[in-house]
Amino acid sequence: MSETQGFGQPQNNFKRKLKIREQIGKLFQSLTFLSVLIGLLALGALLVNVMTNGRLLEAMHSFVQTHQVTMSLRPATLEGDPIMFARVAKELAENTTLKKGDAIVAIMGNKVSRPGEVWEQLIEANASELAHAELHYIPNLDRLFGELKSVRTDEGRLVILEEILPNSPANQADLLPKDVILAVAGVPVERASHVFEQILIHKLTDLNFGPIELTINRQGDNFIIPINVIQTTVNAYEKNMFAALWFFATNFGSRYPEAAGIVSALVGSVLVILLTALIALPLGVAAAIYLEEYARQGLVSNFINVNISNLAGVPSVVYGIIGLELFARAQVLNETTGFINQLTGWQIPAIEGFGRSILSGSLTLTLLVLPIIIINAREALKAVPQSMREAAFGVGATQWQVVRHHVLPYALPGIFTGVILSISRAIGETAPLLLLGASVFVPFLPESIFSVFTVMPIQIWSWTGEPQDGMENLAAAAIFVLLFIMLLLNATAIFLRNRFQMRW
Amino acid sequence: MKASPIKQQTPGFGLQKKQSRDFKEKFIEIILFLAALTSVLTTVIFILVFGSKTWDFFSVVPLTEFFALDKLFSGEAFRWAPLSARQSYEIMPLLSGTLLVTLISMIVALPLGLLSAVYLSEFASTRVRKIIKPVLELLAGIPTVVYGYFALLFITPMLRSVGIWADESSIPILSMLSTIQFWNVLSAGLVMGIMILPMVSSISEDAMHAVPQSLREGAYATGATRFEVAIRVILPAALSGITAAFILAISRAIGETMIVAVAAGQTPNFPPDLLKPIMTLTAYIVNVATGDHPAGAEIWDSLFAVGTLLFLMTLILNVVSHYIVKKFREQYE
Repeated sequence: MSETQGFGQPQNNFKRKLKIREQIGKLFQSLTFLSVLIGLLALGALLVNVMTNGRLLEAMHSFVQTHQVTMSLRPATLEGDPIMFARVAKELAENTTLKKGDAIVAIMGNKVSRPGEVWEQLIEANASELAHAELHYIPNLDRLFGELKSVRTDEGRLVILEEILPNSPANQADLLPKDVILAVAGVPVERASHVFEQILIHKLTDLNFGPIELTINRQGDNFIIPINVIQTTVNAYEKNMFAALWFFATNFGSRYPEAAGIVSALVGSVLVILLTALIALPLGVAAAIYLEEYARQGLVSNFINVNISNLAGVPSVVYGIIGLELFARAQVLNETTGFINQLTGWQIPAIEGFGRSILSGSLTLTLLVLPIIIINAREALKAVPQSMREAAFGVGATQWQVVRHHVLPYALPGIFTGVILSISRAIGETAPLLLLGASVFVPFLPESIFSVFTVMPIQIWSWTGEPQDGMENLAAAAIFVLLFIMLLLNATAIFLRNRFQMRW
Repeated sequence: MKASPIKQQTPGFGLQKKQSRDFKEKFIEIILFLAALTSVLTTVIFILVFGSKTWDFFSVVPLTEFFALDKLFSGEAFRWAPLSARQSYEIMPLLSGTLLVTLISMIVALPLGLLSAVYLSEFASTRVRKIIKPVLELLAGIPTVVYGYFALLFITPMLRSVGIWADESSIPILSMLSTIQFWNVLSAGLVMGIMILPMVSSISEDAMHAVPQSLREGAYATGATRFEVAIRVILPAALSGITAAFILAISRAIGETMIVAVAAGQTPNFPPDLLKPIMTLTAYIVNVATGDHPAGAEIWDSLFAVGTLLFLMTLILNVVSHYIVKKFREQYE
């Protein structure tokens, strides 16, 4: 021990340092892991958010099977607070007693004071609860009373019961024709619409299913008459995510979120992408073949190379401007022909351009994905070993025969993988098509490639921007569908890559 | 197999066949060449269209007015008001908006992307890598409009509730988040950072992966820890690739459209505020194109001027990144 004393100090020092170095290393490693985790966490949060928001579609859908409900926001004067309620928009199916204009106040005994709550209550309920879900509603004014009339008299405006509907709540509460309604639950009313509003405010601010007190004037005397305004209907709801998605995927857009679908966007996206692939695939592969198999290393091919890699880096929104100018309006073409006309005295007529059509969209996307397809296809061609070419040349094949019979067949899976990946990028592109003027609301299917169209990302964009309740759920559901399609495309690409990939 | 009668070869038949074959070969080559030329044609159209329209714009609005750099020093307010009666095109609010969003996204994407790349390349086992890499690529494949949705309807509300919580427990800086507006720079920038993260990590990882194993082994042999190998050997060796990744990331952030168009608002503000809406160059383009403006109006020309600015910024960054890869790549073997 004593002999090593002299060396002990530095050795301990070294050990301590080693420990510190190891600690730093550990810390750094966990830091790197943390950063990966943050990325994965963000992806998880995004997907969970889309799923939970998209799931509300199910409730919206189960509701739309029997009801068309619009959520309206009606400014009413309850201490200056606007009050929102669910209001039925259309005549309804037979198995409920709901009619147009009715206001839904509660589902399964829970208050609905905010439009989105109708769906939230439904989504939280389990299947057996849903099967016997009670819906409380206040019938519209006509069915509540009969006919109400606002009249201007010397004392101001009065609300007079003109006629009473048999079996209406008013009839059961022994109201008579020519009664004048002065106040609802103590709040004076002046107009017929006030009556309904005050009843709603009274019911919704503190949900109760009891009667409400009407102050009326009958032949000079004031009475207070309690009236039961809340009615109940029972309806069997059905929870079915698949049916909801199917409904969503096969219906056109609508002002009412629960009735909206994306069929026109879905079909638009598919058509635009197919046409894009149809144009871009041969063009891109041909260009790649030229650059990889034919072009001699020189100034021209070098220039084209630099060009392509630069085009791949141009922001997509800039492509949108070009597409608008070149294809939708044909400005560039017309200016060029105009210039030629000026020079030569010819009479080349100006053309109109393709407008806001599928063709314009596809051509623009073609410009966008072409550089990517070319780069990918070149990689695939490069991967075919030189010996294959040399063997074919050796038996006297021409350049094209070598390409056609020997290089292309082996490069094709790689090329297709690249094409599918760039197509899956194109299907999510929003900005260029938005610039081209793809419409937001298209309530019909496109008839030809010259039709007006919309695509899914644009639907998502427009729904995301809408403040109306339920629209963000639509956006989430559309994202769900879009991501599903993209996942399918990517899976196909990975399958192709694994199935046909050659290792030399 | 049916034996085909032997054709009597007329003299010159082989030559004829060769000629037609040569013609076909030439024809195909020309077609392929034309296909390759479309990319050049695209560039020419780009330059023609943007050049002429931008020229038109700048002949009405002079460059000095467009950039109005003197106002930076005089402290006068910049006005970007193409729609008001007193039209004014001073690019600074849009430019500063773009740069601020880019800055925030880079603060997120660059360190996280680089660290992720180090993890995947140096620390992760092959099995973990095989799972995480495709998942991160999935993150890169998500359409940007989806990220916009995420920023607007998830990140912003989350930031606000964090701010409200911090306000209640009186944590100084975080509590400012409680005043975050519906459209704001911060959430758009953060989400854009997340979007770009996989791109940074993927390119950086490729660069690190290309560093030969012998370098690592040599360093380990001298007793270096993994951390020291990663920091002192791998990072310097892969520096050109990493720098290129960073520059490409910046270029991508500048050109990103949908996230800012959805989540950052449509209000040109100068100086930009993290918690308030701004308008970026790209958002302006979307805003004008989706609005109802008569064709040929000055506002359309401004679209091209802004587009040209965007195009030039990204082009320069891309060219620089290619140059760096080419010039400073460490060649091994």
